Formats: sequence, structure tokens, C-alpha cells
Amino acid sequence: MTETSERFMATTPTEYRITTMTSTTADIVHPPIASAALEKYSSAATLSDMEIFIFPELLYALVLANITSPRLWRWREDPWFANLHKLSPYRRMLRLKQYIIDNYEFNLDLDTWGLTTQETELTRFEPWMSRDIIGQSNALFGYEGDKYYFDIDIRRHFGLDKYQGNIIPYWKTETLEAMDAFRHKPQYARGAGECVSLSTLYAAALFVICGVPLDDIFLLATPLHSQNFIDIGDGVLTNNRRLVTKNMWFNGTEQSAKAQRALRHEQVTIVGHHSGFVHCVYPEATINPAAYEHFSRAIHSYLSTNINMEIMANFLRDESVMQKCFQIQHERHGKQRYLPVERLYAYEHNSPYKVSDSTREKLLNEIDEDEFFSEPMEGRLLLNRFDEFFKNRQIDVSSPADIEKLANELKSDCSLTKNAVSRLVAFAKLEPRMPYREGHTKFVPAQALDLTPEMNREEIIARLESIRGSHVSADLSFYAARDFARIDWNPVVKAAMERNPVCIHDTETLSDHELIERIAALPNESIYDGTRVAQPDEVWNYGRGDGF
Amino acid sequence: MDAATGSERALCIANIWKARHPDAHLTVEVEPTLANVHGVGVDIAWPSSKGLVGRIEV
Repeated sequence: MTETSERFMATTPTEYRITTMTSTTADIVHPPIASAALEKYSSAATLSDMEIFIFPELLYALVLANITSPRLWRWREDPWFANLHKLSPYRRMLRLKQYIIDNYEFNLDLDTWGLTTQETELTRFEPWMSRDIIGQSNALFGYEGDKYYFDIDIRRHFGLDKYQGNIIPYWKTETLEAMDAFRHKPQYARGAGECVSLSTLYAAALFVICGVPLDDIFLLATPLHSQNFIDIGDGVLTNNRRLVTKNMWFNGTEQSAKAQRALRHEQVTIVGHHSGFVHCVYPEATINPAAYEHFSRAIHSYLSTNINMEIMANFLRDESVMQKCFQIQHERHGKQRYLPVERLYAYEHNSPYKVSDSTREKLLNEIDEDEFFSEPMEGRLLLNRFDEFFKNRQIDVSSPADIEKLANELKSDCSLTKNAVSRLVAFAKLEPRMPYREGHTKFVPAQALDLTPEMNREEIIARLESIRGSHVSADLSFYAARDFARIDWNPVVKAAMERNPVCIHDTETLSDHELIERIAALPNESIYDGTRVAQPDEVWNYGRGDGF
Repeated sequence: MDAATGSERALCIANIWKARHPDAHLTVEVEPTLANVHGVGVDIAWPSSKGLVGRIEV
């Protein structure tokens, strides 16, 4: 560990005494948070991925903080969303997707919110979860995923490999305001956020802007990712800034493979819903059992399809190595010609036509004559044969008899087709590892949020205020919003003093006098409206703070 | 110190100052239009637009 990285790390817990916490607009003194709940409430202000894993109520608390954000409600006035009510729910979602793509980047700079140590965090979390379980479930504490992740060196992919030994990044999640404020950081032209920030923003915006009921929105957290499943039509999955329909899920493109990575290779650790959550470690699940059952059916249906010619061709697009076992027969000037299938897929890149649909003939006609062979190539299966096989027939992936028929068709001398059937079936049907465990998970009743798309912002805030005493996520949402007029300040000050290392690190070369001058010289502008107060590293990273 | 800041900057400076001087006793007094920081060598009073009232001792 270097001297610099030591200084970059979080500061030691200390004592804070806070008195007379009110705002001039609402002279309410909020009761102090009990010491046993202080860590959870404090985590609402920092919202690191590991804190959300330990305190799953935080996931929906951030959704609610975004739902009550005046910034999000101002999106409704943007001409981009004019006449949105005339569109179908899916078209509304597409409008939203484009808005998010235009205004936000996916930020994977793990240095953004500074560093801490595994030991510090494990000690914090010890009352709630053992070190071993955290190590098995969280990417920052040793989780490396399955063989697939090992093969692609997932720690290097996420930039985790540069943090040696005990040092880990905070990997904090941003509120909508903090996402917007990225545009104030050097090298950022737009807003930005990491995956949980984007998924919680999507959930809130789908509700506020697109009018999608919260009942249809399910948040899925895995050790390395966060996505939402939207129960509209055949289902839509959010993946960072993008949307993935069921058709896209099975189209075999590189982008879809990326969207599939988490659900295909990771345990879903949390499913969050407006009715509650289910967590892979904690036995108590607050999510409504009927809602969970409905979700489970819907996502299984989304992740499964019968195999037809299109799916078969999509599978070959995904499994490019296997393309070398196939050729396609095509008539040119009255003569039969043969083309290696990998050449056909190669032409797809620069063409609007696809191997997998009715435009294949047009794609073949675009290919130069000299790419074709005049005789069939030995050892390669004819793709055309599968056109015939799938004519008037689909393979039900849950039917052993159907699978056997498919296996007979796929018999080949080509060694690359080894396990082709099982891989094709796995392509067409994914069994996600959900957090609910039979015999372990117990559903417990929970207070309903009862928020509807017809409510305005003030009504939503009033509803959340009214159920704070019986709904933890509702209560935490005011802490995630850092709304000093509506909270006990102590947990948020604790977060400010213990988990904001970036401003400390970046100013270490300044004298005390220079430090005060530097902070004083920042623009007089808060990233938060009203009585919401930015954390120190938000002030520093975005170079601005409250003032007139 | 006559530069304008507020409660957010007061909290930011308290965080940095406490890391530099762990034994320092800091007080941030937040008034509806002002945030005062005591204990950083000079007493700072910076305007705020947050309309908050409170006192933080660290």
C-alpha cells in the first residue's frame, strides 16, 4: 500500500453531536435514529454497492429519492416527452431510453468516490453478515464469479485488479442529482452513473415519466451488476442505458451477450419491488409473495423461447466458432454454389439484411461470386437443411423428445459442434439463479407503498412521509435524498465525516489557509434543490457548494 | 474570510479539517442564511440558501 492510497482512504469513526436540527420551512425536529440503525441510515447517504447488498432496503430508497426529485419531474416539461401519453407503454420506454442515452454515460471509473479497506467495511457490516458470506457474494470482497468470469478475468475487466490486497473502491451509487452533476467534472460532457444509478434512475423515470406502475418494475441486483425487469409485453430488461426486449435477448449479438452476462453467470442477490425485497442471504422477504410469483413466471418466460430457424441462426451468430461447421447452399445463375457460413455472418456487419430472417436471400445476393465454392465443403452441415427441419416445427426446449429430434439433425463430424445441442438449449432457455430459496426464504407482511402514476410529486412525498414509521425504504428515501429538513442529521453527518475520502486526498498538498481559500472559491451552487445537502465528496468532485 | 459558501462547504471543510487535525474540535452552526465554522483557526461565516437551522459538533 502506498502512502498516497493510505490517505485516499476513509477516516476513522468519531463522535458527532448534533443539536437543533430543523429547517425554517418546516420546524420539525426529527427523532434521533437509534444507534442500532445508525449504520443503515448513514449508508443511505453514501449508497455504495456493498452497503446496498447489506441493507437491501436502500435499493428502493434510492428509487424513491429519485421519484421525489424535482429534477426528474422537470423532465415532464421537456419537449422530448411531449404527447407521451399518446404512445404505447413500450414506445414511451423507447423515448425514455433515447433521453437517457443522450444525457447520461455509463461511468465505470471506480476512483470517483475514493477508497476504503475490506477490513473497515467488514467490521462495519459484521453485525449483519459474516465475513465469509460477504466474501462469497460481493465482488469487492473476493467474489470472482463462475468459470466464465474467471476466463474473461472479470476483476481486470472492471478495473478491480489494480486495487491490491485489502484496498477496495467505494463504488458508490449516485442520486439523479449526482448523476446530472457529472457534467461539471472535467472530461465529462454529460451526466453519468454506474449501473445501480442507471437502474434506479430507470425505475423512477419509468414511473414518473412513462406512467409505468411500480407493480410492473422489478429491480435485480447481482454481485457485479444491476438491472430492471419491466413486466410489459413479453418483458423488457434494462441494461445500463439500454433496453433489451425478448427478441433482442435471443438475437445472438455481442450487445445482447453483454446484456445477458449478469443473469447468465451471476447469482441474483436482491429482487427489489415496490412491495418489498427478497435477498439471497436474509431469510425474511418483504416482497409480496403473489408479486414475486408473478415476476418469477414472467422472467422465466422472458428468458425462454422455442427453437426455430431464426433462433438457430441467432445461436450461430453468438457461437461464432461453431460457424465453421456449417455451409449454405445458394443458387447463382442456375447453378448451386456453397458458402462457408462464417462468410455470410461476416457480411451481416455491413448489411441491413440478416442470416436469421426472411432477408437472408438478399444478404446472399450481396455477396461476391468469388466467395462461393462450386462443390459442397466436406465436413460442414448444410444450413438449408435446417430450414427444412424447422418448416412448420418448433423445438420445445422443455421436451426431451423434441431435443432428441434436434440432436439427430445436428449430428456432424465437425468437432466444433460437440455439445452443440446442450449449448443451443442453454442459449434458448436460461434458468436464472434467483434469491428465493425454498425452505429458507420466508415471506413476511410489509406496509404497502401505494404510489400510483396518477399522483403528483407533492402527493407522493406526503404519502411517503405518512408511512415513514412503518416503511423502512420510505423513511430511508429522505436520507438518500440528503434532505436535512426531513431527517435526523446525525447519520448523514456520520457518512460525511467517515466515507468521503476524495476531498481529503485531493487537497493534501494545500496548506490549511489555502484549503479554506480553495473551498471558499468554489461556485455558489448546490447540486441539490431546496433543503437537500450534498456530501463533501459531491461538493469536491463537482466543484460547487451551497451559497447564495 | 469573506468568500461565500454554505452548509455543504462547511461540512466539506469539516471533513477535511478533521482528517488533518484529528484532535481539533469543530463546530458548524447552520442558520437559515448562514453557515459558521468554528475551530479551523479562523471563524468562518458563509451565506447559505438552504434555510436550515442546526449545530454540528465533531
